Amino acid sequence: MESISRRQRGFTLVELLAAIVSMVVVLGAATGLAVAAIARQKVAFDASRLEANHGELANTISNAIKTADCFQIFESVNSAYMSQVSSYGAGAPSGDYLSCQHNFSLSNQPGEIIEQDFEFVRGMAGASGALVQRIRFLSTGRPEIRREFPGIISTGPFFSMKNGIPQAHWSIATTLDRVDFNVYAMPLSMR
Amino acid sequence: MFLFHKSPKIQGPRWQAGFSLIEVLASAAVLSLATLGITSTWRLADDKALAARLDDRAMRILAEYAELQNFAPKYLFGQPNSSPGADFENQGLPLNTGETRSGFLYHPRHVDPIGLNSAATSFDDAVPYRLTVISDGQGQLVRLTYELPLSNAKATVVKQIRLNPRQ
Repeated sequence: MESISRRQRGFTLVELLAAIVSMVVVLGAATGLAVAAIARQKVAFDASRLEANHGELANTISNAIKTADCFQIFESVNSAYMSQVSSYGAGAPSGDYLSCQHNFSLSNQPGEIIEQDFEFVRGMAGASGALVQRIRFLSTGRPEIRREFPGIISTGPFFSMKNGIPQAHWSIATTLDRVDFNVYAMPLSMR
Repeated sequence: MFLFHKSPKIQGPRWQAGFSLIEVLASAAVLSLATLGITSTWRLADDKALAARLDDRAMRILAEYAELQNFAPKYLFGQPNSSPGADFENQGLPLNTGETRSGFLYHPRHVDPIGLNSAATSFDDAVPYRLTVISDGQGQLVRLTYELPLSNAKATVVKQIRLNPRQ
């Protein structure tokens, strides 16, 4: 049986190798495209998430100042801890610590005093810092709530009373760019 | 049997003849179209993402200025600015009616052309904006204008927010 047709003989080694190399090239290109697309998506997603987190922080600071019965800016956490709860004064013109007190009292009953503190913790030697938000329930003694917002680059003081307006300024470095945040707010009692 | 034997004319079935020039050109054209489609889709996605990011920032800047204009003490209005025009230098100073202030919406990471990745991260300034306070019959508006840097065209975006009447 010498006359075996080409279809019955199968593929030669060269044909198989050529097919495998072609498939590897096509699969490699497709995988490379997919990996690049996922990496780009992750970079954009990380940047958006960090920016959204700090947008939420800006709203939180703004609302804390607007609804505060009293507030004070301290130069640092040390000067804040040296101050007593009931002795808020003129405060520092600028600093890295803001404390806002809210008194939720009903008509005849003693209310609840809630303190919202924002402390900017600077990073070491050029590294980014973090803003720590603490919510303390002073009258009920409930455990405090703590949140941290990392990735902040701020060269000057975080909070200030420039031109008589309570304000906060900071920037974040995302995976794509730098985003600046500015908060201006005024407590109801000061308007 | 030799597969690659020299033969002036290939005799036999179609599968022994290899690909014709038309087939190779057609496959190259299809692959080129697919590559073009993928890259243009990526570019479109980048444009959309940048437009969304700029829109978000423009709205946030407008909201920040609306708060500043609403809460600033009256004595701050009408004061000459130390560095008029630059937004960053005038933090905390409200805008007077008709005054224009400028800044940048986008600060992309600086790309080092030499390829050396220095430890100190620096950022460029891109997408300038102009901010102005205008008056109409119903009160005051803060208006922000910027050019949307699309890859194939430019579009001017105007956003504005109405201020609360001051007491």
